[in-house]
Amino acid sequence: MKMLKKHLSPFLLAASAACCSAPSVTWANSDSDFQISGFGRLVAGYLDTGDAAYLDYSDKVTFDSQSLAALQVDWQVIDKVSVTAQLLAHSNDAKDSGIEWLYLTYHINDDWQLRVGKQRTPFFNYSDVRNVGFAYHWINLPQQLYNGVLFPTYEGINLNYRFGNDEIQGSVETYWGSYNDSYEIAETQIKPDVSNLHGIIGRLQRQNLRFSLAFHRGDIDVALDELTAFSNILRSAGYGVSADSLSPVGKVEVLTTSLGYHSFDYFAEAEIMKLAGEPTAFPDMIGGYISAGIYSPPMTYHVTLASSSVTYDKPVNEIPLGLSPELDQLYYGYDSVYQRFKRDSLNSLAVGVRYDFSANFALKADVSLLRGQGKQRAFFEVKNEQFDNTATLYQLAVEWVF
Amino acid sequence: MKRLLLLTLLLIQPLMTEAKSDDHIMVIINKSSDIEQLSKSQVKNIFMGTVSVDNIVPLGLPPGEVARSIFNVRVIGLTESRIRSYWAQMRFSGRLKEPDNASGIDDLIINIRSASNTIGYVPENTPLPDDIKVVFRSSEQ
Repeated sequence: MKMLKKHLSPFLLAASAACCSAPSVTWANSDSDFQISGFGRLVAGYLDTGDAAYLDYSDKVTFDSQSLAALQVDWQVIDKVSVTAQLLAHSNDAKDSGIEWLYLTYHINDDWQLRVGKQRTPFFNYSDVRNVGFAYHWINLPQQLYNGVLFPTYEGINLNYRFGNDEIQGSVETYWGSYNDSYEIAETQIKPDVSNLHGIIGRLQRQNLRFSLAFHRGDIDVALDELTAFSNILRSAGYGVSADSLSPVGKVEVLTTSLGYHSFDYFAEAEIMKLAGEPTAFPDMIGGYISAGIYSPPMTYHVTLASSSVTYDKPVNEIPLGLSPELDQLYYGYDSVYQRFKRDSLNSLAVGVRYDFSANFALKADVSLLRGQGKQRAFFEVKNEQFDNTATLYQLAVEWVF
Repeated sequence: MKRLLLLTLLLIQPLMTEAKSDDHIMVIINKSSDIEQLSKSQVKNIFMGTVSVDNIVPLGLPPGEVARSIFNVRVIGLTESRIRSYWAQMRFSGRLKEPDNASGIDDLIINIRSASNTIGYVPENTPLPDDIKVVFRSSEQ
């Protein structure tokens, strides 16, 4: 993968930058129709502490954390069938570069659309364009939702139905698929095995007001070998209830809702998520944000408050303490495993400005005040145990699409 | 980095073209179309792709055209940057594709004359050939 990225990055960055002043490129003939478009971003960031990193930003200015370039190829195979591939190159070594999307779309009619293949999981309003910074006003989407514990893509089918009249328009989107890949939260790589992942998203729009409500569910195996091994030891020692409480397998359910209003002069939008996971190692989480801003073309000024709160099911430690050194070891082992579950409760306040200086380019500047709750991880990569979970992130970005 | 900045400076174009407060647009279609009149909501829905109307194909004008700025203010009700963000989200999420743009008003009129289901907008009082009719005027709202 690193070799792939090494070759992809310069090519995509060059191609993306070269094309960004022009509209998307189309080659068409009577039998087929290719369209190439793309997007990119160059992001610089600085965190005002050396005691921790946040989104791979530290107390040295870096461009590597979130810069990327992508090309999207749409091939109209026949009248109602198209194939879309999105090739993405991250500048960050920890993120996989390669094929981000690859799906076939069947336009059943003007109202119904069916997609099959590898797609982004549509948990939130901006989930499926998380890498397209040009599509939103922040540099970072609120991490309390968008860098949460959820799986970024899936392989499966997606059915979308649009409806409406002059006054109200809406859509219902459903999907079903699976996820078997890895992603990163802070410094932790996660590789869950998610099957039977499905969801339904309803969206309504009346003039400038938008509302959505969604429910998602999946069967997950968090696939933590150490956890499974310890659970087996507990079971063989006769402590089945404690062993079951560390089961890495179970259901994950997510409920999300959003409300947004965009006018010519201002906007306000909010999203809330409630996540519940059956496996003890999978957190229960409530997260949300509210963001508002003023449009003063070509400038956009905005402010965002976001928060997340993470809990885990209570431990079920049935091992008696003080009977023997071996059992004591097991007792404290159980306690230690439970304490190692990461908690990402974070409050943040972000202010920013976006300058659309051409149809395809935008400059952005954001300042984010980050306040982690208690001594939790709070999406930080802690380097010094004395870190007080408080930091300020400064960022500048150039975003483009073509 | 210097190269990137230079490239950026070379590529930038003025995004906003100011529309005067008394400027208006009219929405036009081929006379052979069955459509006689559209409401503001219908025009907005057609150009934002939220609802399809009788297989009508919208054709826009490129960013920087005065008529586009007037259309954004009078009909869509959003800034150019917000509209660009919206279409970036629609395109790269695979949900919708942005309407094509004509290269200018003359090109738009040529396209509408040659297709019965193409709809577009031009500044009000633009001289129109006999085979094109007006189905919406922002000045009448």
